[in-house]
Amino acid sequence: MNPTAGSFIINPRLQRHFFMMAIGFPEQSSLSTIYSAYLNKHFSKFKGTIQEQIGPIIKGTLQLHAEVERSFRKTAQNFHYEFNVRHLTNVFQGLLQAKQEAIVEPDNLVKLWVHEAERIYGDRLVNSAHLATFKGLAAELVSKSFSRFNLKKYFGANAEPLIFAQFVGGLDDRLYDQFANAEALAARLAEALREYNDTNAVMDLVLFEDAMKHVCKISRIISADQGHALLVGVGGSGKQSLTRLSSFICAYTTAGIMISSTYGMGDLKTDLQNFFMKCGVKDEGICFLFTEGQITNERFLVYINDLLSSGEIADLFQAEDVDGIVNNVRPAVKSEGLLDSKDNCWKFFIDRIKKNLHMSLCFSPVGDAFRNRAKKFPALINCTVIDWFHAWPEEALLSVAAKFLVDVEMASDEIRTGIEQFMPYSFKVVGQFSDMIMDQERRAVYTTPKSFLELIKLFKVMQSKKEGDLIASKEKYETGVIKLTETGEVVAKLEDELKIFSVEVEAKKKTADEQAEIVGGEKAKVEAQNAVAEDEAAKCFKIKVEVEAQMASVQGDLDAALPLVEKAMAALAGLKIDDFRMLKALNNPPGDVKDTFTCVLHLLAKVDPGVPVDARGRLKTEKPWPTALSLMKDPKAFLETLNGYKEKIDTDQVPDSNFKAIRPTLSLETFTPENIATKSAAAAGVCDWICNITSYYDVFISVEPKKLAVASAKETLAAANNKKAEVDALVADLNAKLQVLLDQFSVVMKEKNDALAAAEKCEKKMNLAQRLVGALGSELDRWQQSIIDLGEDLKVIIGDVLLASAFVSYVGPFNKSFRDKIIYENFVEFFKVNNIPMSPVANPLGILADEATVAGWNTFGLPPDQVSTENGAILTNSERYSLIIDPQL
Amino acid sequence: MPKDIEFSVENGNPVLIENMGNGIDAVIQPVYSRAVIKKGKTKYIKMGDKELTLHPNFNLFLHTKLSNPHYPPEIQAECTLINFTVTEAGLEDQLLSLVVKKERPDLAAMKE
Repeated sequence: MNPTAGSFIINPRLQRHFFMMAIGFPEQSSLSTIYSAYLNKHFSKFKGTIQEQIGPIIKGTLQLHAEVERSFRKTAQNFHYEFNVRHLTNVFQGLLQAKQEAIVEPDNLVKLWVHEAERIYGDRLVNSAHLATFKGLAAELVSKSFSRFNLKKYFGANAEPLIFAQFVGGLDDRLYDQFANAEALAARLAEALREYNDTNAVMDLVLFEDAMKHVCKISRIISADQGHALLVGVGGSGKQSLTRLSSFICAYTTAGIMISSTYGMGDLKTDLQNFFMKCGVKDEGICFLFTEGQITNERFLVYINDLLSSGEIADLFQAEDVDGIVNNVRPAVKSEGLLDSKDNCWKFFIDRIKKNLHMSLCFSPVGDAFRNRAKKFPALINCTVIDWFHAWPEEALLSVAAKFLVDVEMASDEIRTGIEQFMPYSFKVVGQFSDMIMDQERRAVYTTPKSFLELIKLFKVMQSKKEGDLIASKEKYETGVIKLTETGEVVAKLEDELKIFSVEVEAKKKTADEQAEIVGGEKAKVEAQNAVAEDEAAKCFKIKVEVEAQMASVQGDLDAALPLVEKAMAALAGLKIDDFRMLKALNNPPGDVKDTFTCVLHLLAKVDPGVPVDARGRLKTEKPWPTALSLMKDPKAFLETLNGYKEKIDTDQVPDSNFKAIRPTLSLETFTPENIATKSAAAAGVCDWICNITSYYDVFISVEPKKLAVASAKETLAAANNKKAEVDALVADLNAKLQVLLDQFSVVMKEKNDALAAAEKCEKKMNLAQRLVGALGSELDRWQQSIIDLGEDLKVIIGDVLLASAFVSYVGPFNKSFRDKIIYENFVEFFKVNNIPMSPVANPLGILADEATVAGWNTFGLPPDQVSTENGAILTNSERYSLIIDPQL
Repeated sequence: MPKDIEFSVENGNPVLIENMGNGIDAVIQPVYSRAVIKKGKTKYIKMGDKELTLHPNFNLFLHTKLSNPHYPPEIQAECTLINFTVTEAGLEDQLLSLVVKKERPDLAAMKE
């Protein structure tokens, strides 16, 4: 085979060397013989009644084949309408899957046959009209040949699904049996999808009836040996998702290739080698999902073609790789009881590939690409089982819409129904307009189930966003209104409070004032007493000063007299005991000496007990000298007496008369120490003492009145001091009382100030509140209006958003007149008929962009016409990326 | 180009591909079809053998100068086709605004 292409024309120059032989379609009888051989063998152990049906079935199959061949001609459009022995064989191959456990009655076999025939012939038909034709043929045939089995319910309008599958008893069951009803099928597939989603990236599939049938068809195809599925349908009809689910049901791994910018033949080869190793060596099942988009190089299809047709790709493995594979599978070959030759091993490997590696090819019927590829690579058509995906029926669209919209909150069931129905409706309408624009402008616009799903998605996103926005702004206004009302109340309350406060403050003020008065009175009293006390203190001070002055003068006088005493003392100190002894010796001493000692006796009268005194205390002696001598018996004691005489004077023990008695003697001119010294040294000393002591006495006496004055002054001072102390005590007492009052006063003052502060705060608060109410009072009405408006908007938002999202999803490729027709003549009318709430004036742009945004676009150079603005709105609101058709750019 | 797109997908730059033909490079198919894989909160796009973190700001704009391109349904389903072809009425509007700008700049200023 030509390695660069699958199909080829043999050059006539080459052809001429060969004998040409055309092999036509075999005779009916030959076919009958061939297939009955197979069937008889397979059903030999089945019930007799079942075996009886083999003949009619073979006959029926041949008839059906002929009918189909006649009804569906191969055309350029339907190039795959080619029915040959391969298809006949496929039908019988399907029958050979029959197991005794499942096919217990003849009608089971007939049903299986109808099912298989429908899979082989019906599934490749390109539209529902063809399918209906085929069903008519089959129904006719069944009613003719198998009228005794009640199969009518599987044909005609609202036919029950007739489905055989390997997972009827459970996902792990492998018995090819019929599903009892659609519910059983739905339950089984729901289970499968749940399990799939548990272990894989979640697929949010809606398994409506057609989708379920497709899953059964795909899994039927890929579970057969060398079974490859060719899924043909427009993009987004679910080919890949359903393949994944089917592959999961068949317990295969779904594998694919990942296209990158550098992906080439080598990469494909590597990927295929991996698949081969897994399937052939490790004996794992793989479903190789290959889509049209992945054909970045047409040569990929050479490999695919080989894989489909024979399971073997000529140059996929190098010789050494082949050896490795052979060695790997050798034990398995041996355990099968086969000879482990290289050829056997390789064949074993390829058989495993056929068993385990299944392709699911996803192609789009649109355009020429598919036809061209099929022409070049016939295995795409011939070696695969085709499953043609028709447009989703309206029922399917509706159930998908219902499923996806179930979590969108809607005001009523009527609205929900309306919106659910709008989805398939709008899809249908846009489809019609696509055909129209194709007719009128040769412009290709497609809507696929994918765009339908995108509409639902966009609607949900926009709905939740817009509704959220509206609710949020409504809540804002509501909060504002509530706050304003609350503030009004607060102001009223504050006013009341303020009144109470002012009364309280007044009372507090009064108490404080009273207290202040009392304190003032007390203070005055204390101050008066203080003045008195100060007066007293001043007086005391004055007296004290006087006393101190007097005392100082007395002391001064006395101090002045002290030298006299010292002189006297010095005179005495000069006396010696011997001097006195000498005196004793004198019986009749000179007059001066006598006078001297007489004076001494006078002075010592009443001072020394040795001196005789009369009743008046005067010296009483006739003979002073002997008396004096007796005194001087002990000169030491005598001198001490004289020495201590000053003390006696100072303490007033010496009577004044003593001195009066000696005055006359003292006034004698001879009575001087110098004079007497000539007579007796002792007498001279004594004379000196007498003179001085007398002088001292004189001074002392002269000081006496002063001393008295000082004493009296001291008394006065003491009295004054006492008085002052009294006054001080009084003042202290008053001060203590005053302090208590002051304390009380400060408490009262504090209370007053507190009350004042509270009142002030209250007033401030009230002022602020009043300002707020004053400033926003006018807003209140507007806000309330806004709340009402927003409430209205909220009611219609769902319709507006639906219209806007349909606008974004569908009208982009159309021109202005088509857009208007779609939106205003169809969608809006549908809204009205189905009572979907919407704004009175339909304007999808209003939802999509506000005026400011549009103005912004215009400044950036977007032309201000309607179409451009719409385009801008679509571009910015679409969830999908945009593809801009702008030939004038 | 794939490098630029990879960078933009991860860093959130918008990408404008101008003057496309009748098809889109299969390499960016995962991007324009938004084949997003969610892992936790992060979104990934698998492009070639690389897994790219999808930045929320990323945006893709495709543009063609062809006046009547024929894009297969797959592409039309994955992308929003927007027809910017100027219609007669649209052209009228555009010309009018140009004339107003020229003749009555005061009115044009008012409009803006």
